[in-house]
Amino acid sequence: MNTVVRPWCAGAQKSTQGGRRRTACSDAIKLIVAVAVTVAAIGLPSAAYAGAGPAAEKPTGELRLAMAGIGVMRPIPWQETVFGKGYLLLLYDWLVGANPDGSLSSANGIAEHWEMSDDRLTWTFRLREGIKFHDGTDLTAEDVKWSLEMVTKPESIAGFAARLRATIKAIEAPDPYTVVIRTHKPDLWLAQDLSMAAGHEAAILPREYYEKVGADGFAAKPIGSGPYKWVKGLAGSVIQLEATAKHWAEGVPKYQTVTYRVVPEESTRLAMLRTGETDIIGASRERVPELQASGFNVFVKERGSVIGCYFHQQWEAVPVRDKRIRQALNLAINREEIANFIFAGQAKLMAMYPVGSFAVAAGADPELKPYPYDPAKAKQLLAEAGYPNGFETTIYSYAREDIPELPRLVEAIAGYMAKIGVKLNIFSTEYPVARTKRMTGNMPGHISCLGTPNRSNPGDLLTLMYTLHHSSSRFTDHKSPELDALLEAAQAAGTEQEVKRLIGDLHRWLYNDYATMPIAEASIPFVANSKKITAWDLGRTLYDNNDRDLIRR
Amino acid sequence: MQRYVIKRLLQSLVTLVVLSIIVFCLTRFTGDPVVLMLPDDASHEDIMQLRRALGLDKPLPVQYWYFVSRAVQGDFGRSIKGQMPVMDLISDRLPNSLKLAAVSLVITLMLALPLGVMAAVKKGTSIDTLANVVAVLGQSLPQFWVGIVLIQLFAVRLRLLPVAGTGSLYHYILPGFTLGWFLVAGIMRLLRSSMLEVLDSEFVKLARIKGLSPRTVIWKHALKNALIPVLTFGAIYLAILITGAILVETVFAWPGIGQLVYQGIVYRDFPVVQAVVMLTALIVVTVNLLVDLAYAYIDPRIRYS
Repeated sequence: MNTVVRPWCAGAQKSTQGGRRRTACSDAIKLIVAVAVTVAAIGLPSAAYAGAGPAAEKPTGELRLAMAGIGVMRPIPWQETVFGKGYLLLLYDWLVGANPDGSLSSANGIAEHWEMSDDRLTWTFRLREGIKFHDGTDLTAEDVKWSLEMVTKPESIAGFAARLRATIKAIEAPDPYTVVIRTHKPDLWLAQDLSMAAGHEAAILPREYYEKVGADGFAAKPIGSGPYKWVKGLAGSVIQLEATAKHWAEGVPKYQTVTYRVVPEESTRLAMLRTGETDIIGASRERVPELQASGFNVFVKERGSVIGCYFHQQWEAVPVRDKRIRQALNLAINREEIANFIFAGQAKLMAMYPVGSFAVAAGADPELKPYPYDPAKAKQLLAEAGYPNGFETTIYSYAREDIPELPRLVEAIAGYMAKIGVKLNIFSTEYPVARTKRMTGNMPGHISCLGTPNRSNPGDLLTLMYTLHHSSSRFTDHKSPELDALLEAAQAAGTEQEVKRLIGDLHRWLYNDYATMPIAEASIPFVANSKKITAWDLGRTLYDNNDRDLIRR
Repeated sequence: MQRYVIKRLLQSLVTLVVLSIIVFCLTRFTGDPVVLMLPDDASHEDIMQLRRALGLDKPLPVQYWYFVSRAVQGDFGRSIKGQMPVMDLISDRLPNSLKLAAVSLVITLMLALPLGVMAAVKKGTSIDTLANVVAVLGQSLPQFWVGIVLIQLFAVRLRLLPVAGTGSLYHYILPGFTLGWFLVAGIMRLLRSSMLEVLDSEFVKLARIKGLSPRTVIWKHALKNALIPVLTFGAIYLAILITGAILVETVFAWPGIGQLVYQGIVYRDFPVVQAVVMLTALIVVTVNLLVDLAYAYIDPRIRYS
């Protein structure tokens, strides 16, 4: 694991190697203590002392990140996709704060307190006083009310906008520091959905300034209340931010400037890292061992992406309608091999897709084990189901930024299936084509693979499961009254405990049904200059990598 | 001449209209941008609502009419991905593309002119073969591969040049060379055949008989005349360079039109792809039109044929 090396001690640590434990670093500490005591003793004015201490800290240097893609790079939450959340975290504050593990926090969000009414139809958020936007104006309840109304408009492209729109009935600002949200139906997860742990819907913008300059004017020169101010941006290419003097929650930011650059080609990103043109890059999993060996620091969002495959339209007259066939296909693939060779060892096995290991916090069953590799049993099951010579179906192959290994994964799956006599015809296409076929119900019995963030929020997980498995959903792979009833019961549950219990039931139901083909939970790696970036907790929040951790001292 | 001008103008207009229909249809038949903008767990209602908000739910003829009627006024709509006017996106990036195209063209000419002239003058010799090899290599080696190799050599190993992005004059060298080398073959071979023709002409023979030095005959008299088709070709190449440097701009993270159109294709950002294709077509068609008109003006046989 990486250790944090204090710069002023770095040389001293080197000098201790092979020597005795008394270091130049400890000498330095003694010297500083002696000077401080002397200065205090002679009674210098406190201001002069403060000037020499922590108050004199200033942001210095530049942090440069080169990524394959960064959302739309339009710094307006309702005109930005979830994939732009990282830089927005530096520019804005969220209504509700969150800890890196995804739990809610009253320490780094605008709301210092929130509560749900007894009838579970009203949420009240008490805002922190004294938070200012970068232009010096106060952040008030009116800004929160307006921002949330804007982000839930139909034209909003924010990922969870529709969910919030369906829930929120009215938003009120009874006084400058209180926001009341009334909901159509009980929503246990509203605070979670409006937190830094979810998407970027609850980033708060200054209403007055936005209305004065308009959307395009705001996008050209956005103002937030986050630890960094906007300097310049070119959509699809670069964003440059500059540190504020001091942020109310994060303190004095570490770097004077932070630059996000889009560099689509991985070999270019690697070259930039090697030559010192950038400090952090997004890298593919297969490069990790090589880069670690080269002395770079590799930080991973452990188990960040849950990867699995769907058996589409299982209710049709197709082989995968039979549970034995789904079981056979699940037993036919060697997940250990896939994790080691396709995902370069940067993946862990999982029991069921899309319910990942983070979901244990939301009630998922931790006792369920990954399906074993048993091709002999798979063949037997095929024979029992009336397909002793296998069958033929289609599997889709497309490139996705979040799973560059997907075409190779599909080839590997087709290879495993061939061993049990199932012929998978690989349909190479682009993701939008496959997704459109899925939406229009043109994938009977076909297989396609996807990745999704590992989720720990029960509400979020439930919405995902509902979308993927409820018979009323356009994306469903099932039409099962039993599963529908479970999903509906979980959605109607009145307490967090009940929801978690039902998520556990759902998890077991899907597992016993061989509903999907879970593959693995893959880590999301980032490679950094080992001298500059010594620690980074990428956290477990959705759609970001805890970018704020990078700018903390 | 007037009749010829009208005829050529109409032909150009038809080309643009047909192209607009093709690009409009092709972009829409390959997928839906909305499914890429929303997360995987977005519901069908979310997708439909966003499609309505973006006007993508309207019938295709209606969408086409909106596109054409605005495009003729210079308005290509708003980018679906970038959520801003497409012309703003293009104007932000056009200066970068223009500068890179200019540098590439200079590099192309610096390589192609001496190679073309030498290949013609030393026809059939090893110099001719070598010139051909250099030129053809530039066209046959994949641009992205050349770019990556150059980065590894000059940026990573020798640390002489920056890897990617913009900022200084040094940033132009690697992408400029990668793009320029690709074009060398076409211009060099055109110049070679044009030079061979000119070198065999009467006025060159006369110049030689008059006792002018070979250098003066080749570089002053022959090259000047051989350059006419090269300049025409170069003007069209320049138009393609400005908007079509997709691979080079992607490899070098160059914030130009090529990178914009690449992202437009990946995200099915119809308005961006349509605008870039139509603007490229407009430039190429205009250059062709002007060249044809110039030829017709110079040579009456063309306008009467």
